[in-house]
Amino acid sequence: MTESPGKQSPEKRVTDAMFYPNSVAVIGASSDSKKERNSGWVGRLLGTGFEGKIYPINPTAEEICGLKAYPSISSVPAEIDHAIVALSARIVPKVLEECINKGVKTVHVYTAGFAESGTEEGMKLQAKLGRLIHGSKTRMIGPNCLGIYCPKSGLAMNRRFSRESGPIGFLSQTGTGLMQLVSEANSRGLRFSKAVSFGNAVDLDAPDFLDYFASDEETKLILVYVEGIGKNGRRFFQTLRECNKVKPVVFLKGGMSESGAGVASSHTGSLAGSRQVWQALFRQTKVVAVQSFEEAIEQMVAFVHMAPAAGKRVGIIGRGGGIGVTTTDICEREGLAVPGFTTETREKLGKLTPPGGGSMVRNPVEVGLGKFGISEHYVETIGLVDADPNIDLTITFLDPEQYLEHIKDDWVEGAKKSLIEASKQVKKPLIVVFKPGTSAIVFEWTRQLQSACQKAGLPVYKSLETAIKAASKHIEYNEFKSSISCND
Amino acid sequence: MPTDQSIINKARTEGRVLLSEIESKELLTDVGITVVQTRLAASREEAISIAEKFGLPAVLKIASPEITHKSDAGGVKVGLRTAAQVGEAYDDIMTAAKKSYPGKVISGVSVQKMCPAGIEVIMGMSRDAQFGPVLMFGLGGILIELLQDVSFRIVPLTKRDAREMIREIKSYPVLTGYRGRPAADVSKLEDMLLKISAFMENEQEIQELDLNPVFAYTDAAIAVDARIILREKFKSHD
Repeated sequence: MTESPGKQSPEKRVTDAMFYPNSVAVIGASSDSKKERNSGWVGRLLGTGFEGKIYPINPTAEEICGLKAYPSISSVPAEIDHAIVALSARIVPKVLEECINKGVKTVHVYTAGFAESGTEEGMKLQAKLGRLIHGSKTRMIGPNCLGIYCPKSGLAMNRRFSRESGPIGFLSQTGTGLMQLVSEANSRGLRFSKAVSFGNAVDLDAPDFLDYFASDEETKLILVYVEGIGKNGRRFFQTLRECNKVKPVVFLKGGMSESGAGVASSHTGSLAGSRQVWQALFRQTKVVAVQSFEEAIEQMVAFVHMAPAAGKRVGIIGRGGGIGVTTTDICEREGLAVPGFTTETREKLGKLTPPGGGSMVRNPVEVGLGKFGISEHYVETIGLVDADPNIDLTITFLDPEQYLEHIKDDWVEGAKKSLIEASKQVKKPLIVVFKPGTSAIVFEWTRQLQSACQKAGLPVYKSLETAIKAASKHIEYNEFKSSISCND
Repeated sequence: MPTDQSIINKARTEGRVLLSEIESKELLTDVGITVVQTRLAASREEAISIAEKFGLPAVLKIASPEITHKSDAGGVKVGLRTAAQVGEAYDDIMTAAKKSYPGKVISGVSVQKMCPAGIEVIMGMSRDAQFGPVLMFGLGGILIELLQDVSFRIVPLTKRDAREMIREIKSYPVLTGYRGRPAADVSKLEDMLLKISAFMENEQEIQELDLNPVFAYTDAAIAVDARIILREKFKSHD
């Protein structure tokens, strides 16, 4: 074995090459090709469009899924960039040693049954992996994780994940967190540059990946899902703080109620529960903290589709009355303002109102969007609100079920056309809220409108509350970013 | 600056994790935190001489590694304006302590100058299992316990963190001159938090730290009492 390279700089432990391997070995591929194709890693890689070489490793098989199999990693007559280990925990240390000796660049240990099992054997096996990997030239992801998803290289753990690349870099401690969030995000039209589930983090840990995402050109927005930080907590905190200054980090902490502080005898000790400390972390790093998978997705929609707003003043175009009043309440609760329009805007809007129509020219305004649905003045109204110097962003609320009896089946075509036209005119962010309602037709319209708006670069939401919350946090992040000084 | 090991070593040798007020204040002074100077007096004469040196009025407290609740059983005397009062207080404290705590080690009496009343605040540090040292800030008195009106920050703090953690508590207006009372110089409190943070950044042996109370004045902030607890089973390379 070669000399230990010494302590590597923590910034460079995760590299681009890790996501773009030329060759992948699957150690522990099943000799039953059908089984491997359905539920094994070879099958996954064949189904996710991975174009590099795949080497199934199995002590007895000649061929697996049409690929030549090898009895061990050392018997492969080629360089291996990436090895996926799917063997029982007890054998993993020996296999890891073989991988290190072979010079495999990255080993992803999929196998569970290490420290997370809580058993003494699991702890011992994990410690053994640590002793083997530290100081070696090989880097390890895991154990107990799903590893890497990179749409561009086709290295992925699930064939249903989109093969389109996008701006989101995703760091998930758990495999289930990754599976859930990637599929939900995909179904909302969100795309990832890279995602990784890092499991027990014996070698590569959250800060290593955060560092990487911060400087990765393909990543514009970072999503983090963690349940707890076992070690390297301080480094994680400091890396996160630096990272969020460069790119927005949407942060979901699972299990906020767990108690990690232990017994303490002082004032500080007894008051500093785990929740308080995580909240301190959110306040210090200014990451965009969210509380559920759903909120994480909605927040990312804002970051991906919404342009930065210059301030917090919202113009609302929707139905007046109760909806208008409660929408204003929600805005103010979330830290946004709903100011009045200028006299000029009010006069112009007034001219669009049919005499005796009763339309409101206050903010929220219902001009162009009355009880009969979208009128010919809708786009013009959006334009007037957008141009008002008192307004920083516009939210328009469509609830076609309320006037379903007055509209025709081609309503959605008109709505799409209007919104796309408006999206080209506006100079400030425009958010579309489209209430799905309960009837099948409105559901179908929602789907169509969502995809049309996404293509036009407009954020679309199903509820005002969700939209306002996401917009508010988006604005808050941008304000933070422009306030950063060297001393902070 | 490395922590003064002699104080910690002494406690370790004696099998203590709790540092005395005097020891705690020495460590804090070393790292630039303003504390009310406090000395141990082992006799009535010494108590008077220290009190006169620091300036009257004085505060005397029982000094014992085994007594944590000093004010119980007459262990604290405040507002001592003359040498005679200091001498009398010394005798009273020692007599009461020997009676209430027979067989306990009593080192003597700690002597300090009595500070003019300021706005009472509390600063503290505890260790979180995941993130290490965490600082706490709150206003003194019952608000801390009753309303848990405190804020936390993970070490190391930035200037922004120190600024924000003070303004985050609900009772912050008390510091800015509520109902015509004098406002505190909040920047002095920020400096103190930053100094604790810098101190704790590389400090491995301290488990908990309480500066309670700190008096905040219009032009200064000073830690009136301090207490430090060492880590129970500290290994230097864990």
